[in-house]
Amino acid sequence: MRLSRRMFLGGAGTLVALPSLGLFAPRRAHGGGAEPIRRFLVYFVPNGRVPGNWVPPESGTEFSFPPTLAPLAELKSDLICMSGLFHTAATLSSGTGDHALGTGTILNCAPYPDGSLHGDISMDQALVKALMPPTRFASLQWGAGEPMACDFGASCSYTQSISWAGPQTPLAPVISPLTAFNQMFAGANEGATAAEQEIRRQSLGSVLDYVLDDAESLKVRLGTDDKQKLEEYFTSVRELEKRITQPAGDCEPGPAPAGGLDYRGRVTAFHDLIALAFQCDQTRVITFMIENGLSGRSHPFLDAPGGHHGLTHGAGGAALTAAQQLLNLERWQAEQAADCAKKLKALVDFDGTPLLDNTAMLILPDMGDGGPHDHTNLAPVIVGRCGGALATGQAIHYPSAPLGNMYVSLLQAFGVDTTTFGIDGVAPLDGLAV
Amino acid sequence: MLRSSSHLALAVTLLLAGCYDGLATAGRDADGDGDAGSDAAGTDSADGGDTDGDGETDVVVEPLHRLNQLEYNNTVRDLLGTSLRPADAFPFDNATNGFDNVAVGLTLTPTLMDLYASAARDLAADALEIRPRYEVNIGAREHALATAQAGNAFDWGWSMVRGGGTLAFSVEVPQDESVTVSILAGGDAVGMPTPEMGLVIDGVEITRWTVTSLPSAPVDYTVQTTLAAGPHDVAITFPNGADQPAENIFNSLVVGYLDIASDTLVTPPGRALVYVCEPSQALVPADCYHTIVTHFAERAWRRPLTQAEADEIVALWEQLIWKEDADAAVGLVVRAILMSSKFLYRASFPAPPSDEDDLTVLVPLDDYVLASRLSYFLWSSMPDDALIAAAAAGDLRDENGIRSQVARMLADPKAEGLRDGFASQWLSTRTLARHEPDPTLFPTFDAPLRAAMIEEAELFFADFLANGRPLGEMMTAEFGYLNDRLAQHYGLVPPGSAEVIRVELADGDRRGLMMQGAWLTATSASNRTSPVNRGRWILDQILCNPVPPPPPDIPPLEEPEPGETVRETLAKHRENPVCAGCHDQIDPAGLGMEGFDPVGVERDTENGVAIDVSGALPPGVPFAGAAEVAALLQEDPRFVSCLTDKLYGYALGREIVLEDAPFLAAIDEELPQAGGSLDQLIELVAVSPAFRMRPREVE
Repeated sequence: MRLSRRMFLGGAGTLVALPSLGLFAPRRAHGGGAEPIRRFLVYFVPNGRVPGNWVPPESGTEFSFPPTLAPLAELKSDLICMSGLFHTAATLSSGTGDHALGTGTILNCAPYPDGSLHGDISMDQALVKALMPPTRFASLQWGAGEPMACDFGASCSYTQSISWAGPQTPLAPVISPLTAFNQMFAGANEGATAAEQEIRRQSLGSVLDYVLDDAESLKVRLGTDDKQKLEEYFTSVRELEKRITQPAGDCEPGPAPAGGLDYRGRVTAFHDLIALAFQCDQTRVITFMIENGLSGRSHPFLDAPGGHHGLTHGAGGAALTAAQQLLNLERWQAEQAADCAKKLKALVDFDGTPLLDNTAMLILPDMGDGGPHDHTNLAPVIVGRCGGALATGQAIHYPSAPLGNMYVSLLQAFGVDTTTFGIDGVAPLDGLAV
Repeated sequence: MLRSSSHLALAVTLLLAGCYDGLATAGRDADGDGDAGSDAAGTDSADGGDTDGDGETDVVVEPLHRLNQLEYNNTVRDLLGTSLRPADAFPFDNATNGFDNVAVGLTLTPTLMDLYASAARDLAADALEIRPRYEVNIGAREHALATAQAGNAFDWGWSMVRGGGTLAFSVEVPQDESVTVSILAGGDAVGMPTPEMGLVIDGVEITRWTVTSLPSAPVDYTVQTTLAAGPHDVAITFPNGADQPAENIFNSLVVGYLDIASDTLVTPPGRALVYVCEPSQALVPADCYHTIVTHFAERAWRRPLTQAEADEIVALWEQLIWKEDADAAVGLVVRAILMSSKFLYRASFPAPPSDEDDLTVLVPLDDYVLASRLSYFLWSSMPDDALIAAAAAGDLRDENGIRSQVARMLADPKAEGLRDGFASQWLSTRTLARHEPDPTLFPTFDAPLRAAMIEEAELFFADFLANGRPLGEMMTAEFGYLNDRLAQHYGLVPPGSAEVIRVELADGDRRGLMMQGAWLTATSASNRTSPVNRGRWILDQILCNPVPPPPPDIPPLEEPEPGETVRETLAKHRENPVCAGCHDQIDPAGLGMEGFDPVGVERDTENGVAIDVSGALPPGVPFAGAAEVAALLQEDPRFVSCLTDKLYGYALGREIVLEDAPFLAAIDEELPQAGGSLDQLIELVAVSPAFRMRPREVE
């Protein structure tokens, strides 16, 4: 972005300096009353977790932290460890390998019958639909894993996204921190003065009105299925129109992340971006995939040079066994999740409390034990009180409870009046809500 | 051996007999209606199958098809002459059955639309804005922090060190330039001397300003100077910084950015492509602007406009100039077109009905739809003027017209788009680009080696586009592509070139597709070979004998014993009858390739044990090592059939279904038995009725 004098002048959308950690009033006040502004973050980890290393053996408020959960120990009073959840949708799906079955249905609880592209709305998108947050971006999807070779039909769609807008509409993540930063903070206001910027906003409004009208003229010529596909375009342009025709708020984002970061650098950069996005109220709903489902990434910087997926199936090495490498890898991923949570904890939210207190961060594995591809015994972790709605500081075992029920609990924690979600969510889980 | 019977997943049930077949027809006929048309988009009801029961073969209609990343980048390159590649920042396109140009998998999300909008903004600016031939624009604060220079952040900028400081930059100028240097600055005197700012280039002070603007209202300080081609040290100085630390009184200088811009302006190539007339020289400038915007839309939409469309575009421009100037309005219309559905999508409209309204089921595609289909097949990009002209003249209505265009287009440098789109996915060079072998085991596997392997495979493919050799020779070609780095890696005599070049090879040499490092490496784990993956690659990519997914509840696998070879470990897995059914078919193909290590280097031993390279191709045809499998595959009609399937699916941008069987069989029959070549195969696909026709629209 070419800097010029106009960017340093006072006025809407310029680089007005604010303390980097601190209060930033959202442009549109939320609801008036005492309700906090709640945030939802899904932090996805692939290839399951080794249960013996991840699940606290105890239940209740007194529980221990096995080795791959240990990095989260200092957040004990902020978190809820769950175990035993039954991933019904994965067990009912077929047509692809197990990783696609697990990852592809982990956030939408929507089973699919074959390897073609199916899917349905995921919980984060259901939350957006219900709450209609007034943020610049309805939701954001980010990830640090690069696309991989996939197989079996539409498997790529099932392993490389967890958010789905609806049937056949996976929301592929942005994997470049710089792109994500620029989406939020670069070029939002065109013009040297506030007046010029407003003119440009109106012009862009005309531009988008034009493309919508023009798309109608395309639509009338199409068959039924193509008309349906074109709906994606209309939905996306309308969302863009809402954003482009409003002034971008003032928020000092600090320097942009570097381009060309390595994997570790990208993960850390995304933690910063998650904090920034929430702090600047760019969005209140984010999903982040630390890697894709079926990830084969090797982590040589961790003494885990074996590819992740291979390690879960026992492909160890001479120096370290698969089990040892996998422990290092899973522990590192938990350290990353903890780093992200701590960044949110260090931020002060609009209401003066730590931002993490108003957040529900769901550390979400795609299955239980990754080796046998177990879909019957999942152990996600929630970090954050979600604005006082969640009873943190405990480990709860839910033998064979439907995974969908966890999403019902989460939706209710955000104030959504529902008792169902996906194929198996019929009630909230006991003990999660305050 | 009937070539046609090896097409399609129909073959799966025959050739993988005994394999776990519960999901062998994955994706086909899931709803049991007898029609294996894509149940995915629910199109089988209207578009697939013999819907009128007249026994005539029908053609499946390609669904609405969004441009993928490669196609977007190539299209804007050709449309606007830009070197920007905005699609590199887009979320990746999900591949379906290994190819990312399958329409059903190409969805349009709000994130993607947002990035289309910023791409449109950047592309319009890049294409249209007359700008300095050379410019650098460096934010002072970011630069100072990144280079750890003294001073501190202050409000909007960088405050120079109290008492006088220097902020140093390095620039590199490609050619001699007369430039204007601008520095945004503000300063405070606070009873001390009014701050001064100096510009020092290569140790020589060019000028010194008195900074009278306050930090609250900075201004640009400018000077003209010259810079010779080459590197230069540029410094902003604070020569009269005064500091009385005891009283905490000091003057200050705050700097926002350093901008060096050539006084020579250049017109980007895109401007000539868009400004087909010069408004300032037109009798009625508005008429020229109308021509500009409608002409751009026509090129971007890859077809002539209807009168209504032309009127709407002109109306948009007219509306915009109420508040924007005329050229800014052109930029905004360009952005609109780049965000329009008619640019981003391709639809399969039929040609307008002719007068003799015969009631055949199949009708030709619209000429311009066909032109785009051809260009996105062969170039992964928009049609050029010659192809549009051929469409306008009706040349694409007949096979010879199509053949002549195909020949021209394959000879055009833009045929690299076929390499980048098809070969990179067929031969797994795209996967290799992201594959990371364990650096502790393979420390020499670096970026140049990876790049050489990718070129080895892709240039080899491109060679066959041009050389007219029989396709089977891809297995045993008497040439290959190497550079010194790759040759050294393989343990071969270096050809004496840092660039990858064509080399002659002989019998007994390492040659042909099966011995190329790219797929051998891409199908390996980071620290060992994976005969399962190599076997799957051979079955999927070479034989089109797709492997069904594993069943649920696979039992945990034991860790390998220390010193055990991969072959021995896998053998244990096939002792389990649940696994053996499929793995007896998959593993032997990959096991025969164990003579290559995880980075494609030939080897005789593994853990001190001599490597056993015995393997088998389905259905149980034995071979020992890569040379033998290459010889087998050269003669195996399944190889050419499979490549046909892959090219056909790629050309049509959808998965192959039952309805395609007769068209694929026709291509098989037409392809010279004695040795059809790649360009002949491509031509046959392009003239196939499946490619250039569609079912008549039934109301």
